[in-house]
Amino acid sequence: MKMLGLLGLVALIAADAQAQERGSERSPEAARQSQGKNQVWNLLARKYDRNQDGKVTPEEYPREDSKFKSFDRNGDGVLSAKDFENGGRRGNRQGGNRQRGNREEMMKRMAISILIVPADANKDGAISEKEWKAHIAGLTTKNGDVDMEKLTKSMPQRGRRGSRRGGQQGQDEKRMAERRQRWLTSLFDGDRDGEIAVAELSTWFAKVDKNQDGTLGKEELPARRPSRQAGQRRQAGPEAPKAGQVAPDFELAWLADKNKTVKLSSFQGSKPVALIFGSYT
Amino acid sequence: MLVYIKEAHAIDSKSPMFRGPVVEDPVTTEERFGVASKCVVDLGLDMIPAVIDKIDNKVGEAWQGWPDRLYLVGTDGKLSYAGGKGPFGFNPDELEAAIRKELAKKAVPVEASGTPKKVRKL
Repeated sequence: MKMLGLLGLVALIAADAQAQERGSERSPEAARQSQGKNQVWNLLARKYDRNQDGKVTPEEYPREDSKFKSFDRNGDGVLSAKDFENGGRRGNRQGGNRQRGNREEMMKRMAISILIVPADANKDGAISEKEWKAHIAGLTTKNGDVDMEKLTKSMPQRGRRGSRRGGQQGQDEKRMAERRQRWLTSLFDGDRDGEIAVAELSTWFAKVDKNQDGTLGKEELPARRPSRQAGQRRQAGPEAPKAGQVAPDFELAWLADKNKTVKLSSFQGSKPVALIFGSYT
Repeated sequence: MLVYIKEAHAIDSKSPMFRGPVVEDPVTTEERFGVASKCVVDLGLDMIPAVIDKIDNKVGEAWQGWPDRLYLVGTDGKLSYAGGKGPFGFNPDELEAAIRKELAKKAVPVEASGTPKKVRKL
């Protein structure tokens, strides 16, 4: 009996140890990423840490500033192993004005910024308090609440424009709209009556107006991505050559002998050429 | 023929990857030569003749080769195969089939050197 008990105890301890190890053990993918990140730091340190103090300063780093910044994840102005530690997420360092702290606050600001944009009646890129009040008035129901349908309709729409109406498209739009309404209500319905009181929205103007000049300017509003007009193609640059087309000629140096170049067209008439475009990474 | 172009996932690019080879984005053609050499040696690709796109990336762009892509130019100078954009469109089997078809066209057999049958994914 005692032996069994002892065995049981050992088994328990072993199981516990395993569980602990598993807890601290990362997924294989995470482990690989972490190892990769260490390799990145090793490369940077080897190449640029001239005084070998474990840090790469901007003076030691010869490449573009933007690249330095993207490596400097903890935003301390130098590159070090700390920037490449596991779990080193691209932190709140991005952009000077990123909101820290209260996530709900941030969500509200985001929502308000979106809500406010359509209030720019004269389309001058700025929103005066007058424009805002007028906009809100247009969205207000008789009992002083915000008409949610009108509100969501007034917001910049995501997704395709000018595509077929009705059917699936209509259903999707409806669902999107409902989701937006629920989201907004959850953010701004302070007294939990299922409605957003206009007063609740109005106070937000002052909050978004950071420099308190009575107008919401470009700096205070979210950067808008230029919306694509219906029918306008995405600027993809040159299209890839297609089968049947004449192969665009080029003349490039050989890897084996950089002093010698070759023209693609020189193979014409003699042999077909398979082209493999790619890179090490 | 391997056409070595702009890195797909240089560590200091907009789309870094921390798995696989750790490479800084070349800023000169010379640097790209260096990375290409390493690539070819490390991956055992030295049997494939390789050319290097200049750092202005003009050829890569004209062919929309980034991040990777396969083509076959026929002896008539026209494209007999134009693969899709990598990684999903990068299909060595399709290229192989296109090569076989192209070679079958000719009355006189063409030597296969320089036209790789098996293409490893870069």
